[in-house]
Amino acid sequence: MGAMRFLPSRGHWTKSRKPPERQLEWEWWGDADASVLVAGHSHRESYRRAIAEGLTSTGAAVAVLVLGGSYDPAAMPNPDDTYWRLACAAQGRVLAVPWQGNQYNTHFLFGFDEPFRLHDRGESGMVVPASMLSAIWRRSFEGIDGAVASARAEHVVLIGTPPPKSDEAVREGLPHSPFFVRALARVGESVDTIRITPAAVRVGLWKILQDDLEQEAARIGAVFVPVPLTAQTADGCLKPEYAWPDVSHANAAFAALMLREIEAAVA
Amino acid sequence: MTSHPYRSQPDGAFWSRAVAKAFSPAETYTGPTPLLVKSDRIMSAGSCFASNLVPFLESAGFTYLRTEEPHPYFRRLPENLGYRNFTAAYGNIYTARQFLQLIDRAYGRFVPAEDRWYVDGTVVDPFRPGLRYPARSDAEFDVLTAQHLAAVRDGLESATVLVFTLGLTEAWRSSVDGAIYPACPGTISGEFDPARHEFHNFSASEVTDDLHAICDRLNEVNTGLRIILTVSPVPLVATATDAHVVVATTRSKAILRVAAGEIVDARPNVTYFPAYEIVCGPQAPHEFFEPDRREVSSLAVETVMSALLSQCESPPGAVERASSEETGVEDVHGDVASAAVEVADSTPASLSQLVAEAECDEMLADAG
Repeated sequence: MGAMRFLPSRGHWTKSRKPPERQLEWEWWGDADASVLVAGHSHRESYRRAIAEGLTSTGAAVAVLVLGGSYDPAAMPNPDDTYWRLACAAQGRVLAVPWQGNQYNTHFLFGFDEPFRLHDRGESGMVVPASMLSAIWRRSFEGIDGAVASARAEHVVLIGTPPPKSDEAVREGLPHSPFFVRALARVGESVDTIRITPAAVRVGLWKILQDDLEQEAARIGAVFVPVPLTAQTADGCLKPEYAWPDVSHANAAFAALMLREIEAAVA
Repeated sequence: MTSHPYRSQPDGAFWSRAVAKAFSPAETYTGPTPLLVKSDRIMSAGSCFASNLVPFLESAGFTYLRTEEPHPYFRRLPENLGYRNFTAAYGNIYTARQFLQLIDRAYGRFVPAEDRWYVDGTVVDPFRPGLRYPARSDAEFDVLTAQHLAAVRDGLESATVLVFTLGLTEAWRSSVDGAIYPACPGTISGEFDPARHEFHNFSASEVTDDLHAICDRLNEVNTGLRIILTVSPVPLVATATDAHVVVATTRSKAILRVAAGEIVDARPNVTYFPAYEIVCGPQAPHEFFEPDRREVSSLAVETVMSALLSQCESPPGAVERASSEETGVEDVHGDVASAAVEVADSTPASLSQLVAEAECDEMLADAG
């Protein structure tokens, strides 16, 4: 199934805090007869790659709402109301949404001087309730219902987001972010020495986040499609064959796997 | 004129001199001094009035013992009902029996039959029913409760002074094993079941016995601990008896005051600080209560604390009114995420945010 651009509808990104250097446009990217439409935050990129690599032969065509023109993942602004209006307006059988998913990395990728643990994960520090973790990223779910409220697709799916990577994989992925390398340098840290929150704890955090996603799906009447165990190592991390070489994202094979899960969930 | 015992009494023993002519709140305390020394590690427990002293003590340079604070990254998340206002997160403890049972639970002497409630997918602690972040499973509940009780033990064993404020005699308890709930089941959380929950109004002898038991328990784990008892001046919000709430309040406070006196007379390591009398005595100004005549005013709290601190080592100057942040007043409208970020600034957590900014499209536009 070849990748192609389609759909004439376009819009312009506007950013109030920092105007883009050039006009950015979004468009659907993928199969013209797509029945699975993917729109969401950064993890959507793995679905675009799955289309580009021809891995989406799941019985349903797929399209991803991405930036138009010269695609530049390093310059993607945050989906806004305009973005979601286009996502909702598209006709298809499934609107599949990877809603954020990196909150546990955003807050807790790096270890603290004073560690913490979960009731069933981690070896040192005080136990923090799962409900307190949820409170930390609760705001990140704001707007989710409004974003998909007017979806014309038959099914709205919230997609499980990739599990954490192993400590080694995270450390290997760090240098691939020049911004982060610069940030580390500013605080006198390096990618070699910065303390990574143990994978066992990060897996626990990710599970809490997935539970929260599932609850959000139930709240807005969407179907939640969890990440299957086949994508995870025995300790719950993302299998290396599904990992994109950075600290948090998955690759096209993972997206293809999740598309099959989505198909099964709405069959 | 013959000699008699009153001839040798100080001015404070005479209403005309100590009240009618001039009243000094600080002089109402006649026990051993100093009440507190700078090296003290102070633990407090009791009714909500007990939490009022914390910001004053800390601003005066005393060490208020905190053994159960949230992890620093979560410290600015809001909490309910003053669970962060005390040494450990036990919240308000209104009766002596409740405190005694907390001590016994901490040391494994008492395991309540009804030790958890299942409410809306969460597991609620009946003895801390208002916790904002309850457990989501039995396993998590067990671990969190064990962590809490360890923090209670830590406080009891490492404090040099315990300030315990007696609040109520009316309580709701388990009809199975007498476990005392801080609030009637069904009010803050849980469900009231008349087959399992019953009302009890403690008598003076019961409160006295409980206070003796508390002192005995504490002496076992922390010999030398000094105890300062106070009685909360805050009236009952409601009574479950047939009495008028004013009458029920008077009875309750009288019982607590009598019991406190009994203990002070019997225990050399226990003293009583007359916060109740300063606020509720006939000499107290009208402004010591808010218009609802229940809420104690900040003026009254400042007066009490000035009096208390004047009896301590190196008393500070004027007692300044504590800010809402210092008093731990719930910030229900707090911006959770930004608060966490603010706390995390310059910590590894902020580095985590940086990497997310560098990799996630939702943040890249601002990553610079």
